[in-house]
Amino acid sequence: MDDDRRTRFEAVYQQTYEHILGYAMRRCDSPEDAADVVAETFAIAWRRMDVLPPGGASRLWLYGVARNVLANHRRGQARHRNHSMELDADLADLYAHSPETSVELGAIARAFEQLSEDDRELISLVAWEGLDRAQIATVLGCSRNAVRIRLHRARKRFSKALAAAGVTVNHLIMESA
Amino acid sequence: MNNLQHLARVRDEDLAGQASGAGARALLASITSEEPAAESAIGPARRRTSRWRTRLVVGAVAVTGLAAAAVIAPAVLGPRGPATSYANSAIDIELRGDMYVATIKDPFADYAKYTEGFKAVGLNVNLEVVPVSPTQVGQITGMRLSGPLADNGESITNGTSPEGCAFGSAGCAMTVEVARGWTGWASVRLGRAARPGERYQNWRSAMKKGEMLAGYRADGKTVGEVMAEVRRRGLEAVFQIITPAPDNDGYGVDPKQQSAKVGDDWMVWEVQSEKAGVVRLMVTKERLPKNPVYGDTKILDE
Repeated sequence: MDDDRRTRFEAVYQQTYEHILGYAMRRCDSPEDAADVVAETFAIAWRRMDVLPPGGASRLWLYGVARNVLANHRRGQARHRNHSMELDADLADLYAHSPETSVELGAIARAFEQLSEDDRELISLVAWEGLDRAQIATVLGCSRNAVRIRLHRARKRFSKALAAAGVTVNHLIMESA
Repeated sequence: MNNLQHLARVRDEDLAGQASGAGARALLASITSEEPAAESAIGPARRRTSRWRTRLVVGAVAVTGLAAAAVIAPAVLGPRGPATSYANSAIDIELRGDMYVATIKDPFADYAKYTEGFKAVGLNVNLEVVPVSPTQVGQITGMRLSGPLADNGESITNGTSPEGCAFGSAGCAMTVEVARGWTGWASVRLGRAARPGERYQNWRSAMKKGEMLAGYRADGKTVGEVMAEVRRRGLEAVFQIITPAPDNDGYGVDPKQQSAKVGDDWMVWEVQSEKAGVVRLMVTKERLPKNPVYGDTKILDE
């Protein structure tokens, strides 16, 4: 029984680690914070194996957990996990090698930054995690229709912010299913 | 895919292989060494725990519904043998003669759905369906195998269902065929058509027939020359600076060495399809005595 739990967890971990690491890295400015989010997210998954969905749904479930961990982290409530030296070293390395945001993207980046956290997260889940509305609904724990409406509004606000910054909106595809 | 993606610090693809890195393995070991029953160890803030639980339960309910709907007809041989056919929302596997024919019903499905199907019929196959440039749709673009071939000398091939149909026509699906009696392990990448703007995950020369620069030879020309042709065809280009191996026998791509400004006098050694309308020029600053990508004898056969 215990072995079964371990095997299942390891399989999920292998399949989702890079996605969760990416999610955390895209949202955390420091490798230490990203390491905290990744470690805490999977630690929760290990404890909550009884509700961890099987297969591909586990990724969405983990995004939901990571999102909460991150929110707590930002509120300064997260407890710092003693994750390993190796993980810290891996992430420090990844951060050192990730390219700087290019200059041309500056205006877009600033407009993006101006959005509310909720708007930014919605758009990010589409643009960065490549999720469709149904998947986002699963991550956020709301209805697909709610996602559709919120996403529509978020895009509108983003387009407005971009227009104000003088960026042509046509080039900015925010495709989603 | 879009400008917003460039705002992202990393793409998940850039992190490929991280799961098997030292950090990931150490974290896994540290997490699984904890007593899993230590539910209350989630933190002193009990309120936080209960909110999580609410969310998690909602997620679990939604997922149960999905799984129930997905399994259509698992026909089981008996209590001891694996099934000879299996279907879920993503894949349909049945034994036809000497081959298991797996029809990809949903090329955009989560890979786990495919694995689940193969497992149900007793095959150890990991299938990834990835976006590829047009000429490799339906093709196996990568395969790692272990174990001997089946008695009929076959292992894994690609096909179509119905046989011989053209992709893109109604009812034509990609298939992966696995020899009955093959007992190995395989990891297979099968190409699917890319969504608009989606980056290809194959490494196809853009100069091959059917690709964006078909009929043109870019290898050994300068960036300036090649860019003129790229623009003439209404395409865009991105650069990939390659680091030739000693004696120009092969090359590597160093992610740290990609920031240099590529000049018109740089040399192009290969052009690959990056995504629809965009090619990737593989370049060096130096003019080299031998093409590090192709060696001396590149034949553009197709």
